[in-house]
Amino acid sequence: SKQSLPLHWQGTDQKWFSIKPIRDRPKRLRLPMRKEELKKIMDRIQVPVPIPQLFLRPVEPPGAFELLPDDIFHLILPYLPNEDRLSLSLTCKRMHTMDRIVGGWMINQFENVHAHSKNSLYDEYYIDAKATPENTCKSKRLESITRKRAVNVDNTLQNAGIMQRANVNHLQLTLEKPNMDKLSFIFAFTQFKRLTVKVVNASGDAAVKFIGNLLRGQTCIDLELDIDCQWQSCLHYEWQRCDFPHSSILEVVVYLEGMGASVHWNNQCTQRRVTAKRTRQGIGE
Amino acid sequence: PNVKLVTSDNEEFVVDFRIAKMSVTVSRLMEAMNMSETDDASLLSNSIPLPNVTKAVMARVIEWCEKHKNDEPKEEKENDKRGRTTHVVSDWDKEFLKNDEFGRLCQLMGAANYLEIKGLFNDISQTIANMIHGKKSDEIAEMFNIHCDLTEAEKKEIRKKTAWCED
Repeated sequence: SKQSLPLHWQGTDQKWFSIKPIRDRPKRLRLPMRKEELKKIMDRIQVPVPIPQLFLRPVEPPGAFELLPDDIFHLILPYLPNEDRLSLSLTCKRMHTMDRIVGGWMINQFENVHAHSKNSLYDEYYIDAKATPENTCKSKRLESITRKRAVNVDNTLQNAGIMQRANVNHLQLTLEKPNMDKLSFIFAFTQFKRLTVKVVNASGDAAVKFIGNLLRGQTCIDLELDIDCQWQSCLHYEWQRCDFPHSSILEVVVYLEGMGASVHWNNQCTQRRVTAKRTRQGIGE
Repeated sequence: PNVKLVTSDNEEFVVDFRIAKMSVTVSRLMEAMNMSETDDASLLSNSIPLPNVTKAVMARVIEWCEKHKNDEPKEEKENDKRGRTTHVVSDWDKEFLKNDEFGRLCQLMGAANYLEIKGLFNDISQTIANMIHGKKSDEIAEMFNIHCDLTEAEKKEIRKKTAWCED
């Protein structure tokens, strides 16, 4: 008999997958499915879906989405010149916040974004913004990673400009606090299939704010956050309060370096699981 | 060859294969369902469910697609030097969208967004952006029925922080 796939699918390994509703396909589907079987189907369907799906929120009945008025403004912000963005930003707090997390604002400070990088594809990209003055960083080659094309840029925002234009499969970021605010909302509209972020020398609340901004709009499946911070309780508290309505990330695992704690969050919005396994001694309580 | 699209209110639209392919979402779904242009049987036996699009909106989308089905594929639009997304709305498209008030534009935008029809999406985004262009914050608030909860001090602070953009 024909079987429809639901929108959110939980594999036997408890991971949630989000797929577009496809009626009557695949045929002869047996439930429950093993991870390998599910993966075969997922590969064939070719998820994840790029940018547009970000702004759709699942509603009843299953398979339906809605686009909220707020989301409309999210979508059109990049079409507005800065003066209009400022006007829109001044209409209310919500709009101002929204404006802050949508990229594009700061690019005009750096108009010479590498022309050659536009629309190019980087399999992997690495930015190390650690221990460098604000607004500057250097990209490094990671020789150990194959199929990687590193580019030589010397400005964080230039990097961000490239990110906005390029199709980057796997971004690896190492950031410290001074760079975080600027980068977080620039990345909000940039899609990565894989994202590895290491945040150093940041307090818990700064890290969580950064993560919140970063995650909004991300559809990547593999996300790994590596946060070196001393504020575990603060981080946990903020994390619980965080809401990522636009995120399609399936599962988030945060490694708190130095504390051996990990935070798991799946994208069912209501289900957040926090685990803290203290494997190292003498740090935090 | 024709493709059957079924809207959320169970209305069936039969459209030309080329038109169906203009939507990345539909195109992907057809691919996933092994529907090809040369396989009439697969096209006849399957219909594409579109749970996020209503009959009225779908009719508008198809009207737009009919007009643009022979368009040359456009190159990825360049952002202007200020990082802004720019898109030129053609006269026909302006005419097509001019009678839609904001609510209807939102519905259409939602459909274009879901169906991933980039040209239509750009047209609508740019149309809404044009509605905002050059207006002051209180005019925008009135236009979109936004209640301003920012104090004068907060507004001043925002202006101060973004002074660099007011060139």
